[in-house]
Amino acid sequence: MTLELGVLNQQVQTMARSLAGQREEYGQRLERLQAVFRSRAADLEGLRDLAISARGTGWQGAIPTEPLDATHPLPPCPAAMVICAADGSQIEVDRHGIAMYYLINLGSIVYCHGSGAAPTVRSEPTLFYREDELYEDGRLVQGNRLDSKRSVMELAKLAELASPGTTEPSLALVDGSLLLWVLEESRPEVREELVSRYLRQLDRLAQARGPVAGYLSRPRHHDVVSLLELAERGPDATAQERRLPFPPDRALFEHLLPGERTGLFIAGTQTNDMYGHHRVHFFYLNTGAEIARVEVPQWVAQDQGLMDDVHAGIFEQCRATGYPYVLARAHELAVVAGADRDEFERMVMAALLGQGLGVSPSMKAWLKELTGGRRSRRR
Amino acid sequence: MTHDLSPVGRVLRSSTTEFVVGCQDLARVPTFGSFVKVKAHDGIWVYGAAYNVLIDDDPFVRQIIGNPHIPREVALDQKENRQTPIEVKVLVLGYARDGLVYQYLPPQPPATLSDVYPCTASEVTAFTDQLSYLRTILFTPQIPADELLAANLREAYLRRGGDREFLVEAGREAARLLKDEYDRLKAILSRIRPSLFRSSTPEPARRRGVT
Repeated sequence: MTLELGVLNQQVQTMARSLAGQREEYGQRLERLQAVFRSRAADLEGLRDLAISARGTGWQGAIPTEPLDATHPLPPCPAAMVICAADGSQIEVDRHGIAMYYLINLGSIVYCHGSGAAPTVRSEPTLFYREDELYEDGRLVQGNRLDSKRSVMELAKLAELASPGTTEPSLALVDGSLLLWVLEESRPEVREELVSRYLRQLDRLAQARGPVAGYLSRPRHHDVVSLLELAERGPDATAQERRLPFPPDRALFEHLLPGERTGLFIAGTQTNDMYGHHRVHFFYLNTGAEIARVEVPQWVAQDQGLMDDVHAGIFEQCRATGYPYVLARAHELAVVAGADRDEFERMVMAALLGQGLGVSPSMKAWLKELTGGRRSRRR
Repeated sequence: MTHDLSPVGRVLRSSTTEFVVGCQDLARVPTFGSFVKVKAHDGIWVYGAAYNVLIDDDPFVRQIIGNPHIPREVALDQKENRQTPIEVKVLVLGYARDGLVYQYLPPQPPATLSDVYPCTASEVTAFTDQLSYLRTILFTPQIPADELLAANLREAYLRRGGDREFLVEAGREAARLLKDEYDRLKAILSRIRPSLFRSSTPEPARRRGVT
């Protein structure tokens, strides 16, 4: 055993004491934020103007579109609704492996609520190995870049599943944010290219007129908290305040009743400025199990009918498992389990040997195998 | 009798005396007591009888099952689409090589991931022409031996086209093996009475006047 638990124990105890100490400070801070929330609840215009002008100076927080304390009761769920979800997982390139390749496995499900029929499920793996697939812009496709590629593929799958001809209400769900996370250090044109690939898929979904939403369980975002900080202390103080433990937005919305949601806010991330008519809006929803964050593009946010479908559809989906059922299943269909991975790697090895190609891993990988180290290539 | 002869599953793990089959489709899981075969090393087909079907749970199913509101779509998805791990234990009874049946343990167990097939009627007939395998079932510890033997004999009787003579001979063999265990014998015989079989049972195919 290489993990010295005796040594670690002391550090764990110190960490626990430190977290307990922050708890009190956190409570006081939350109380103060709640007071600001109450006092500014009705001041929609004042807060909006404040947020818009602060965004010009690089501040990244929520822009409200409704009063802070606005709530919307659960609308009735349509008797029939087509709910799709897609999720992906990947095996990253292993530079020390026997060949350079990566794999993206997409899981998807089409669930016809009210039909009484079993959903349609699929798992679709794709292997990438060509030079132009392995390298983009001269860099190996891995980490954040592979994540974005996977996100684009997930959305493309949803666009394919959302059939434009259907008259029934529909809902397409992705796991996590609709705001593509691209590394700041990437060159601006690279970032733009990554985002525009994603937006092209959102365009396809907008044409199908079925709403799309991103679902975030236990969100740690603090867009609304930042707005309250801004309202209380002005733009200059917030940078200093950021060093303190930041309560997440969801702590402000614990008062929501099961099924209720907040009003809509515009997400504060800079990337959102590139989204045009897909500009990401969000709200918080009490799913009955937790306060979740739901993100929708602007064309959904501005259509009351689509918003009701998103609201009712997600709540209905959470009834069985406390988390959207279709997302749980899409994830399960995507994830590549250890045994499957080993089998796949054996398949690659056999195919390469069959072609008379050498199949030795690097000395480093080989030694790791011998010493029992596990390669950390799983998502 | 027509039979789907595609594999029912694959070997998950195996030993000389038994192996476990992983199945995906509950509708095609071998029934209790039925004969299956799997190819092992050196042209050997290992024969066995399915004796325990285990449908395992997982945390996802537990989460759903605790909820009073389970939509029909979710229940069907779990039943029809999800790869629930179904495990079938098989007791090894013997093997066949070059058309000859050996009713003792094979030299090697089947390898992991080998395809497992249901036995055809003629394979069941050829295998059950000998009855030494009854001893293996009766004296293997920690299996429901008496129930398994009865189910296996009922299955063999039907697959042999309602062969009453076979059933009588098997009953005699069981009586010999259980000469000191009257209660066990009685329990087994009461489970293989021909009157238990449905009236649609085919007429005895090879009656030879034995009663």
